[in-house]
Amino acid sequence: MQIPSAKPKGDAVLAEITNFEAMAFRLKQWIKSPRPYLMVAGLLLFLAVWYMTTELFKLPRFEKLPGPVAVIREWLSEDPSYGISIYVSEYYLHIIKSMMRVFEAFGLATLLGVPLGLFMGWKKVFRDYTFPIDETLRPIPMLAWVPLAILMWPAREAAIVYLTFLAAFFATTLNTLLGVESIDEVYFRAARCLGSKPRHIFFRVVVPGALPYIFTGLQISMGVAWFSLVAGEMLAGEYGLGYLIWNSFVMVQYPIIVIAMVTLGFIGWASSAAIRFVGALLMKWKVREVSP
Amino acid sequence: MSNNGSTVGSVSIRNVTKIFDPEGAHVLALDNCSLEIPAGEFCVIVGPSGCGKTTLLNAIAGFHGISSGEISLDGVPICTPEKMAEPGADRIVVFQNGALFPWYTVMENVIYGPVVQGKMTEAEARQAAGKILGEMGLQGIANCYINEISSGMRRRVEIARAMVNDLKILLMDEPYRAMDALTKSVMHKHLLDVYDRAHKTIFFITHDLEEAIYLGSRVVVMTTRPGRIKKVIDVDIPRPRDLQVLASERYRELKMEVLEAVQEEARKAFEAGEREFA
Amino acid sequence: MSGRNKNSNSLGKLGKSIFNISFYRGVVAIIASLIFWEFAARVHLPVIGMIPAPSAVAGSLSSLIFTGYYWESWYVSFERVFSGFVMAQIIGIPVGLLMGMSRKFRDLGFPILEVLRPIPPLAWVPASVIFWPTPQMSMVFVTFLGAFFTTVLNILGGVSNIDIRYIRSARSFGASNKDIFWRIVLPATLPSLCTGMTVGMGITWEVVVAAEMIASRSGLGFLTWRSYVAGDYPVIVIGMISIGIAGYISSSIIRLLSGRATPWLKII
Repeated sequence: MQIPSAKPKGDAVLAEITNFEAMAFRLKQWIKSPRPYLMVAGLLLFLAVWYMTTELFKLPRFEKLPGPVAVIREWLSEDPSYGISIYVSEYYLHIIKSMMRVFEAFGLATLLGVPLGLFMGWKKVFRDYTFPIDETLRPIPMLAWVPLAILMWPAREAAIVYLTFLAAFFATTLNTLLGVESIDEVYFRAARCLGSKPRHIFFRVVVPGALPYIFTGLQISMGVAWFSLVAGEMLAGEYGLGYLIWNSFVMVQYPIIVIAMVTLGFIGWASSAAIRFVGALLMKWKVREVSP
Repeated sequence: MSNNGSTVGSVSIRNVTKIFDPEGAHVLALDNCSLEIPAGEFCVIVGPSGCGKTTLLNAIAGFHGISSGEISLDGVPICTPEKMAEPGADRIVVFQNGALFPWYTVMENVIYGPVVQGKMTEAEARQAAGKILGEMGLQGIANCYINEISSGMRRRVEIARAMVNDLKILLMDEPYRAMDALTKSVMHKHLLDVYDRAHKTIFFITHDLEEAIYLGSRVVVMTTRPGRIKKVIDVDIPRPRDLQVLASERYRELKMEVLEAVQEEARKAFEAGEREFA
Repeated sequence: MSGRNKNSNSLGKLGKSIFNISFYRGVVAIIASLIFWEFAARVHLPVIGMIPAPSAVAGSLSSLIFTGYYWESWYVSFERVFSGFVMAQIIGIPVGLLMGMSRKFRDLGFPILEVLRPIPPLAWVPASVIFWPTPQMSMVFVTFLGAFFTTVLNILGGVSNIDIRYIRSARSFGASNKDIFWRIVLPATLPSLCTGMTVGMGITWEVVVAAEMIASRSGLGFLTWRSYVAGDYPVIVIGMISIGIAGYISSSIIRLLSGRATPWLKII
């Protein structure tokens, strides 16, 4: 009995010691391989093609698009010709406005969607009544709600947040429900065997068991929230990055369109990364998974 | 005989019949099964796949009901056709593919039962769990997550998770099914140690005959569908047992006896299976 | 399973599984929501009461479906979705395969993909309108973008998840690189391609609808938006439902084709 019991203990200690070293080793290997250089080369190639088509050779059609030099010059200018750069507070106002909207909508969607999804998965009767409604509404693309959202809410602001919320809410609820359904029946049986009351089953089996799907759902939810937000802001916004894009188009301030697009991409990526990070923190058991 | 001096955990299964009726298909899973398991006995059920072994176990555990008959635990009826048993910590199941909660560490899994039942505070449960894990040589992995430990470890932790409770009978549903022979023999030794120490009734399902004789005090052979009890064989090999048993004359005789009883059923089950797929 | 020789029995089974308690509960729930919706509109509840009542929607629908304009909107949107989607597959599948098979190409292309992907497709609308000579082309381009990234990433994932044992086994039978590509890589990637298409189709409809609202004068998205601008509110709901049905039809077609293309994934 001693040998098998000593083995995993040893493994665990070994893992702790080697974790850092392994990382350093992998980093070294990575630097030595051609990969990082190819990645940089790929990005440079992209920038080069963009520069050459729009600014250097001014190819037909491409010449109308803002080129990288114009965009970066505007972006970093202390006195931007179209009024948006990293030195201008209005730029940050747009960013903050968009982030606030997403934050409100995403927060509300999570607060409502996760409990609803958990409950739908847990109580069959409740699900029988609510799921068909969900299924009827879900095929309608979220962005088709734009006019109705504006009509329903007295203020534009509420309409945009509602639209963003709606997309996030469906993604969160559905994934949470799928998460509960993904839990193997055997865990419920085991929990009952061990003398669980319903609340124990809910908090100690349903919630942790559904967590991986919930976080997948939250990531999707964050993605669609930004997706809908842009459409909402373009059609009905005052301030916000989507509005900035549309307004710059109307005002023929083309470099700003690209600045706003890149900013949107970066913030969207950062918010997904943040969710992944929190998910990894909450699901150590999943992250540390090794082949059995 | 192998009573261990236990006074609780006697199960009596009387004339139990179970008919599955999914959408009109009439399947007789258990047909008039009767079996008395005295307190503290290590009772092994063998039989071909689909003979209703797991159906019987599920009825005792409280996962589904029965169509007629009665199952009682220590003289108290727990499962009748009118009322299926309520799953509870006096009859804990070790599942075929394991059911340790992957979102908890080994320690958190083991303390689960006492904590949710409100029998112990978390600190007390940790102490009790630490003691049991120590006895089983598992203290080193207490803070590992389930995905980090081997399948053999998992089975032992699952047994520890059951034993930490105040249980009367341990129900084991082919726990070592998918294991290689070497791991299995370590598992067997471990289970025998646990049994010799704890004096609990064990209801063990398998279709590995050698395992059945090596571990069991009695081997119950079941027929293929409809599931009936075909033969009960007393394993009069003294405990504590070790690997020497496997080389003994008596072991070989018993194995032959069980083999003969099972062979016929296995063939019938195989032919039935062939027909099902045709 | 054995439906052919026990026809009556399996019909009974079918009936049982469709008309069970869950089905009735679903029907009750939908009817209850319709009644609530009508009620909310009649008594002018805040927010929800602003939605045109089902009765008003039904009234508008009966006149709208006889107009050519309504059906033309269907056609225009479908054409855009179809063009953008097909373009995304034609370009996305080879790119995904190339990136999946060649490490060099993957290292080169992946960062570009990762930089462009987080930008919501709709943010491309103005740039697209500036670049493309006709509005139709710009609509199709934005639609294309919506499905393109999903296709590429799903194929990439599919190729890199191929079990190495299949390739080794093929090699041991003496397969050439060409054989491995056509007989192992391609079929093994098919399931993830199908997943990518299903997801991509959903995104495509989202994008088309919004793009039509933002920058077009035709299609179901525009129909919905115009009804709002013109104050013909019940038509908004008709527009939404039409878009929902159109999206559902498209997804069903993709699912059907996926099922045909990957018969080995059927669960018996």
